[in-house]
Amino acid sequence: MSFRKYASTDPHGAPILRKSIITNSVVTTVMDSVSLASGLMALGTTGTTVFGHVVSIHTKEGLSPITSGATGAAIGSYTGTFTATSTNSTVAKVYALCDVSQSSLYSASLDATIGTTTGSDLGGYRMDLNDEESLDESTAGTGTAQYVVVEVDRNDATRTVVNIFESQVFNT
Amino acid sequence: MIETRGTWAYEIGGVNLEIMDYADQGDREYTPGIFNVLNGDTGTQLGQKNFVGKTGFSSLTATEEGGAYADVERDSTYLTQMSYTKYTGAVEMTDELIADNNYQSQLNAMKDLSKAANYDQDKSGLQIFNGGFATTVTVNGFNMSWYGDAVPTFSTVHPTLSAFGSTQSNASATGIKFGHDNMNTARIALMKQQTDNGKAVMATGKIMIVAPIDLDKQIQEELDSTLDPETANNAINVWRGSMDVAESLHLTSATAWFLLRQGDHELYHDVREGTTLEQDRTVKSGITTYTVASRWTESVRGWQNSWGSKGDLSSYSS
Repeated sequence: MSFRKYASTDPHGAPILRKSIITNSVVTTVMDSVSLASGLMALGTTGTTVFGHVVSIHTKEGLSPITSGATGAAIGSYTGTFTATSTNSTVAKVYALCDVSQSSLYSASLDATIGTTTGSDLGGYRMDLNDEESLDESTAGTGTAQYVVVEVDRNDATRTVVNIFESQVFNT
Repeated sequence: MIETRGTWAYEIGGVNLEIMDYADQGDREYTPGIFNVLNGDTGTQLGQKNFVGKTGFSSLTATEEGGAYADVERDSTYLTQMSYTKYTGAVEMTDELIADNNYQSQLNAMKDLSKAANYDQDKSGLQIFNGGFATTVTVNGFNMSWYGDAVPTFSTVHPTLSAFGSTQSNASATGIKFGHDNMNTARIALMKQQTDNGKAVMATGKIMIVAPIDLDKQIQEELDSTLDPETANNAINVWRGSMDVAESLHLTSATAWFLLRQGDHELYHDVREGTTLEQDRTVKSGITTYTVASRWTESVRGWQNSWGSKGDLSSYSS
């Protein structure tokens, strides 16, 4: 269950990066869908507008964390998932670097078999999040939702390629 | 996917644990090359290639003195329409990551993109075999240009456009497994293949076995043993050293095996544009983008001089 960066609808292709300090005690994994809550990065949920996807996690000095952030974690335990402390927003200030571009395409895993609901494998349909690392297959439809379907992943037919539709940054 | 100093936890100088040795799995990617198995071709100033062939004339007819000479006929083979597919990859790296990492060689994006292109060309070529028992164009992410007779490359019912030929098979209808006696069955079937108008084929190339690594032990036993490895009768091993072998990790079936007549078969890896590596830096963000692109296709221009079995002991008719 995860998002993967797939491509870009923009031929120039560069991500649009914004940093956001992680909300206290939140467990963040690279590529998670996230939104801003009270100015801090929170994990994406159904119904909230999407800020972006985490491309990397940084200490306040701009470098990689050296532990997973969990209490007592050993040096070297960081492998892409970071647990923020209960005072992160004011003390450690570990932040997520997020790609907020609506042009960025992601290959998303679904909580049910692709194509079960009409549109989860069809360009132009839309879907909401199941959680921060997958889409809710049953929400596929033509109404407004958090993500818009582009195509089926050409390298993995169980996954759908999407881009952000309801953006917290851009007018949608 | 953009890479930053947050992406690489151990490679940035002065951060995290001191690393004493560094293993680059990218250097160990499986890239044996594809041209030992497939024929090679290149395209120039073509968006698409078409291939067709013909048979020779039909048989001569015994004619009486003064009688009218009999007519002979030659026929077209099926058309193969071959279109190229562009395969690409891109990665971005920030200025800070490029400047601060201690592993300039290992994190060299161009090096890894080049390896990725080589790997995928090899993998793409072997999809002719993985997809050879069906006509699905896209096989494991790679697009095939199949022969135009509308049946699988390895089929029990290859049609013909000639009235002098008949339906032919280059596949096992019972999914025979690889083995000593079945090799004989397969080899005979390969040798008895005819032209589309029913004439015997003069094939000169050495036979190559194409098989998954799962069959490696059996293949070595069948080709290297002095005696027939499947009996206790002291019969000589007639296959000893008689065939070449291409085993691949890209073959997905653990049982399917194939015979090719080298130089005579019609399976091609065709490169329209070789691997192109480029980079460009966006000055307003300090992000460098590295790209790789190549355009190729796998084409099957005919089925003669190839033979395949699923090796699953199941009936197959397609």
